[in-house]
Amino acid sequence: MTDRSLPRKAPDLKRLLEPLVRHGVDFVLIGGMAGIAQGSAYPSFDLDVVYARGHANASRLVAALEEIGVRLRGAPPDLPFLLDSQTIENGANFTFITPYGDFDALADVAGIRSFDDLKSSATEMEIHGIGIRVASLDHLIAMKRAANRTKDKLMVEEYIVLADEQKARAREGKS
Amino acid sequence: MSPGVLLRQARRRHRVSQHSLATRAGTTQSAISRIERDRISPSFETLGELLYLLGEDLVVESEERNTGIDRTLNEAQLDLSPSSRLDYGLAFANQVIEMSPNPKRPGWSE
Repeated sequence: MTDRSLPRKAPDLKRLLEPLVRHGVDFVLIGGMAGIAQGSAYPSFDLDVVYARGHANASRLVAALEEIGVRLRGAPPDLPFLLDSQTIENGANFTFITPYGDFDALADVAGIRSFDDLKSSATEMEIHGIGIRVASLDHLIAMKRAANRTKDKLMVEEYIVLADEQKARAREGKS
Repeated sequence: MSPGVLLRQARRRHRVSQHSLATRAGTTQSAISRIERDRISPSFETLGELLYLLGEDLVVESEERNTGIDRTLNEAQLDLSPSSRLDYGLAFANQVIEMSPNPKRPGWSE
């Protein structure tokens, strides 16, 4: 059955993104928050990023996650979880609960060919003074198509409209 | 409308039998029948050729889909900076969380 539960509060983006950037984690913002940054009007309740594979980036991610403070979301409280680069390298997709809201760090996402492909077409945006890469609408559409839940289908429709609108604005010289 | 229905309707409009059309196209009556019953899906070119042999052109159009998306919301969002868009989105999410009858997941301190 679909889990329709919601977090207690929407995430605190600055508290989550700032440590990632300061520790030099190579990542791209995806999911609903990326959609909102691109102009979507749908709400989102967690923060999703795709991180680059590799030992060095895994170590940087661990440092950032330790600073943020994370626990596995939905896991039994007694399930042991050792947060180190080996765990990150052995796994792929981690869904966390943090003091600043729900946070998902993903390495294997359906709909994208590779992290480099995602990163190369991502848009650099400044979010509350923090420079981050935000997934392109084309990639957000591809990921939502792959996920294909009802809400994803609605978002695909909106992202297609949004991409049209962005192009129209670019032609008119608007941002 | 399926290609088969489209072909059958055109053929009947012109009062041409499957056999006659097959003869014109250099194929068999059973091939025409299979297309019309949607047992096989003809290529765009084959369907165009069969319709051409009935005196019709295959016209393919594409039009903007009514997605039901309220563009004014997106236009308003695009007028904001990315930070302001996210501020708005987070405030909206918190309102939804507050109003939702759905169960809440345990928070960090629970």
